[in-house]
Amino acid sequence: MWLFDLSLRHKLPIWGGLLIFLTSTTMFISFGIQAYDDLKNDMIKSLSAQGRSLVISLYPYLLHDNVWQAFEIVSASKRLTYQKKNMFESQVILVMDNRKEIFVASDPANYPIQTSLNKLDRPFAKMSTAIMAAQREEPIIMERQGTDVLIVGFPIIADDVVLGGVLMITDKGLFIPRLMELAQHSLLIMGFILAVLLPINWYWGRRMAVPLVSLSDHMQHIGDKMPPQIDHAVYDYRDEIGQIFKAFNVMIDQLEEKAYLETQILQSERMAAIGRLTASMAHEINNPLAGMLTAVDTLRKHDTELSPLTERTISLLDRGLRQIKDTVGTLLVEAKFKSRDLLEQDIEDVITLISPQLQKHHTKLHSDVVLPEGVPLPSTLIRQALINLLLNAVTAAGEQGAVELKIRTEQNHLHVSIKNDGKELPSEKMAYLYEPFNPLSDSGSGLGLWVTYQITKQLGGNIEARSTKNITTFSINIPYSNQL
Amino acid sequence: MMGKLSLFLIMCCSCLVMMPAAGDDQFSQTKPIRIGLTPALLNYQHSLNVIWQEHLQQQLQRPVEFVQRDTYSETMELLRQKKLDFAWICSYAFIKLGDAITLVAVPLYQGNTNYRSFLIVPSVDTTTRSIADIKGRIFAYADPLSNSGYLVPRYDLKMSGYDPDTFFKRTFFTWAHRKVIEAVANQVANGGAVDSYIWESLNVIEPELTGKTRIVSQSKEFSFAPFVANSTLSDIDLSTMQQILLKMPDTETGRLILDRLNLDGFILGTPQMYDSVAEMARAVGK
Repeated sequence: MWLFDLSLRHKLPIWGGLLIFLTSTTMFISFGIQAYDDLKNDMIKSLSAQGRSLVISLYPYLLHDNVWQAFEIVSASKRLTYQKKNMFESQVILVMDNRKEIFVASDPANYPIQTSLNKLDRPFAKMSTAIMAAQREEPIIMERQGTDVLIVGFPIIADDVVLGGVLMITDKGLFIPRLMELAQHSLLIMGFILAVLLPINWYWGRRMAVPLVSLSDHMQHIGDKMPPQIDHAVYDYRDEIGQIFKAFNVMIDQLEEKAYLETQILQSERMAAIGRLTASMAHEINNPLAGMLTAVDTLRKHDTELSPLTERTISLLDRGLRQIKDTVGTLLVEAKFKSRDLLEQDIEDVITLISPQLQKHHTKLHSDVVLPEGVPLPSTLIRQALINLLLNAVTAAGEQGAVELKIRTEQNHLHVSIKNDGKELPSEKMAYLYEPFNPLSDSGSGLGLWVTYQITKQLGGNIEARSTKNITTFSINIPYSNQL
Repeated sequence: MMGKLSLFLIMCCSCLVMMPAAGDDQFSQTKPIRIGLTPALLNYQHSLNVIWQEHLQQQLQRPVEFVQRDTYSETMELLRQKKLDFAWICSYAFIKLGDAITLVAVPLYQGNTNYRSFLIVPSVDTTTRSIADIKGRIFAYADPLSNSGYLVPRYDLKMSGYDPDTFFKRTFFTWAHRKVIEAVANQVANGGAVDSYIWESLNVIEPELTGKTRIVSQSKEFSFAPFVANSTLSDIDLSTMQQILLKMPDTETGRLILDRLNLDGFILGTPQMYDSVAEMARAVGK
């Protein structure tokens, strides 16, 4: 059913509204039934009272066969209730004698004198029998089925003998206007209740639905992309929904962390594979390359009679082979050679080395370096890594950019963070950031980050890049041991 | 005019009240004159009673008391017991009382002393052409001592060869002419006999009531209800009253009273004027 598939945003107010409407309608109906019963009882009471007084007044005239006086009493009684605007008035009053015939009626045109009640409708016949069988002057009530006709009968008894009776016939429809009046009143009240409750329900329903809908919207995207956390302002309470929100945000945190770790693992695995490939290729290239370089050298030393063309060719070969050696050398980062410990002076040197670039791009560098005396890490490699990262940062920051360098040591770890205020790195770039000959590199050889990565990894550390809209940060974290 | 007529008609209704003598001090020493009123005449009309009483006291120089009773028979009984000096009674009662009373005067209505009995049916009944059509139905009489409201229809039935006691399925008395009209208008009865003077007067002031009735037939004329004196009354008292009644149109108060009674005046009558009523009474054997 479509009603069950609606969004909570609509479902809660609609269902709540329906419930409120149903409740007030039920109340209205039960009130109506109650009012109807009350009015009917009042009508019977009123008619019984009228009947009781009629019986007392009619008794002597029935006894003395005085039709005209009986008629005057009956019509006076009717006139009296009419003048009082009694809505419970009897429409017709019949006086019955002990032969079950009409002695007199308030409406003689329709109920002529001496008409047998047995010849009238069934309720009249039944009533006349009931009256003749009565023991006491108590009202007898009968309803004509399927109609609004109500008959209240009263026996006239003298000395245990039933002389006759009074039949008051009325229409329950007479109190319908009063019932309508009451109904109108309760409709007004119902309208008022609805006018108050429906907006409250609407507000409350929305209030409940909005956070759930927002949660649902957020959760729908889990899988294809990481949804953002839910703003606390949407629902800042500590009930179950509030707890779900909290749990959702914790879950998003964890998922983000997991996703981040996964990319990190993937990246380092890929980098390791590339590293292995590069190393083996470098070895494979280096061996014949060394032979070729030796051969070129030998040729130059031992054959002095070379034609100028050969001389130029050999020189060309030599330059080409050395370029290959350099490139292969750069790819094959070797961290194993000994170097002196890192000093604060090294950092200053690095800054001095890059200062021409800083000036060229009008970049502001803010350095915040705290280093103890002699950190046992190879200074040459650290310097190279720092130069690479700082030059990248200056380039990324662009004209008039700002670069921040922060170095600390903590628990035998060297922490370096380099920030720039350049453009955000796109995520596709982030994935291949450290790969050699990075096709995504805007400038340079695309080996700077590769080398830095290799240095960091070979020193047992790690490198991390985070990029937001305004700040891109590269952090290096390298452990060291004082025993070294 | 309407108000006066209505007052008059009310007085024609059955009555319960006995009007005590609102005796002035100047007459308190003398024995009062007692005048009986029947449902055919003054009843309920307290303000008129007061004026008329005052008028009579001034003329007679004696206290006057009006005595009102519900039925003709009660008034007749008071006459027989000599508890009344004068009475205004129905013509049938006049016959019934015989020597116990003496005729004083006869009212003049519309220039003569006659009235009739009307046979009326509800106006919804459009088929009835004569009393014979109401056979086996319900009939309303005014009073068993009324001429127009009892004797006349019974006489007519008898003359037509019916037994008046079994002709109708049921009969009842309303004890006043006006109420016969009400009974027929409300269809309590299928027919009724009523005094023409009362029906016509009511037709002027309450046409919606008479409009619910239809006159089927009119009887021949009879002399109007007479003003009578107890036969034991002294001739002086009788003739004094006779003179007062006859001269009523000559005084302003007298004219006012007559106006409210819807009458022109009183004339001297003779007992022979009521012979036709006596004949009918004999014919129906009562």
